[in-house]
Amino acid sequence: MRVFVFNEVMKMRRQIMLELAKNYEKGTLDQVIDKLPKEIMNDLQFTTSNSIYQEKEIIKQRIKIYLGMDYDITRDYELYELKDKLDDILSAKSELCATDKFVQTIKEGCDSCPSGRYYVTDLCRNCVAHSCQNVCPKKAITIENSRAKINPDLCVGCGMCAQACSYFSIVKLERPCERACYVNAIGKDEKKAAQIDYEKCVSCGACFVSCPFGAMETPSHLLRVMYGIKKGEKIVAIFAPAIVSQFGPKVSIGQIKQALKKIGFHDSVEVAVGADMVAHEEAEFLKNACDTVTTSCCPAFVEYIKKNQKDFVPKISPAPSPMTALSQKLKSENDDIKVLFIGPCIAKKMEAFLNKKIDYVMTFEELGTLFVAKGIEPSSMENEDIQGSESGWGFAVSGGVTNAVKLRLEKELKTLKMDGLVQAKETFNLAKKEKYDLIEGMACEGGCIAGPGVIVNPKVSSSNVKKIANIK
Amino acid sequence: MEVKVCVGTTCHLMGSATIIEEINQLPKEIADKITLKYATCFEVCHGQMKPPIIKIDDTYYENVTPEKVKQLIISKVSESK
Repeated sequence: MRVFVFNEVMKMRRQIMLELAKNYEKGTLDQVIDKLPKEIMNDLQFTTSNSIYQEKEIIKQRIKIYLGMDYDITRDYELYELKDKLDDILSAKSELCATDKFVQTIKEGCDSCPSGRYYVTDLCRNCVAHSCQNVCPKKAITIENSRAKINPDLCVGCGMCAQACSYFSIVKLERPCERACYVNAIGKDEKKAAQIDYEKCVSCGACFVSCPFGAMETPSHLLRVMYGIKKGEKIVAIFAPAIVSQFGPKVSIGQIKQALKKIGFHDSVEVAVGADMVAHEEAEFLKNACDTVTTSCCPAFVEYIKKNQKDFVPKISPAPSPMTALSQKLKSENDDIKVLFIGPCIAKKMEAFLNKKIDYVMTFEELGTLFVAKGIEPSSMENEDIQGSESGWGFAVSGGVTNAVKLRLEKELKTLKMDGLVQAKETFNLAKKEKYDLIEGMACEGGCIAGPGVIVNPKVSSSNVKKIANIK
Repeated sequence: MEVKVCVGTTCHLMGSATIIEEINQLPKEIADKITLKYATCFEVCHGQMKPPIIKIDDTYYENVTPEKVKQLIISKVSESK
């Protein structure tokens, strides 16, 4: 599971979103939008090597992305130019809005950090053995100033020197985003900044989590949702099972449910209800299935299959994801509503875009900002009853879907679990060798509670979800 | 000594969970001397103090980080000896 550290990138993201949301709530956003970067600069204490001009530029680009705009299209727009366009942008009518890209690189923020090279660190002791020099097939290592030095023109990056060094003094320089991306979708543009190859990207959000400069961002629906509420849209907020413990030890799920209604949503419903529907449908399907079935809950996993394991495309479960199943049910009961999905996930934005069944998608981070902007404190709300079975709530952790399906089936199932895209290749190699009944796939290691949009350390929330769902 | 950590939404978003984690990991001889309580909004953050905020006995501390809280508690505990 990812090592969760609350860091300055998260803090900055939340502060900027909060400023936007608060100003929008007050009705002053169109007046102050061009002044916001300067105000935010005063609040944040930067310790990066960037100049204040660069920081201001980065904040400007962030503001546009948080307004739901497409970075590539609007890169050259100044904030004052948006003043009279805000209505169009927030109602998603503007051509400046982000549509089919769910993670974007803020080039101004990208450090263009080194990658792919091997580097000799200070740990080199200029030992007697010089194994690094001897093992190098390209004779790229020389000893200069009592330290090994790699000639980058000769080095082919085989890594044998790093393995040979007894002091582990030679390291491979890697970009955090590249390392985190298990589908190799991150390359470089002409200025060496990170560039996402959308043909390969599965929108899992791993780069968004890993970039220490916060240069990977996801266009937000937060302000669009606030606009919708203001315009009187009937929005039903549905929240993912991963919401367990996201708002701290004092807030129960029932209180969040109530708080969502206080925000101004028409209704709030647990996606665990949708999860039960999906588990039931998948179990029914598995009763008579003779071929392997893969789960369809995780949109990044489905996208991974579509892009990398084409043989398995026909095996994707015919059941929709819990989000889509619930949204369809709600819309069939009430056709003038819009549905907002609140979860830990960026890939859900892609799913919503592809199947057009969900109108808005927000992360828990964004929901937290919305609570603050609206002045609503979930811990002071009344506790509402919670729907959905225990195993439905278990969908939030890796292994939860398998557990829920097994509970509904009498026959034995041979199952395989892909816990994170890191295991993708290995899992599908196994699946090609042997026949499994059910393959459960989660793009984030640990499941949804370790998704890119969570607030709380997955270690904490994971054990709480497992307690609720009786998963060991 | 009473340590109250605000777990209201604003402080929560600005990292109060990590502060609780840090306090829970304090060595036993220090942990025994403090009582940790969760508080909802102290109502001092709106415009004046920066979240996350904690209150040790009667004093508020703003913009705290896990490291700062650890230092603060350790120094307070050793002072009171």
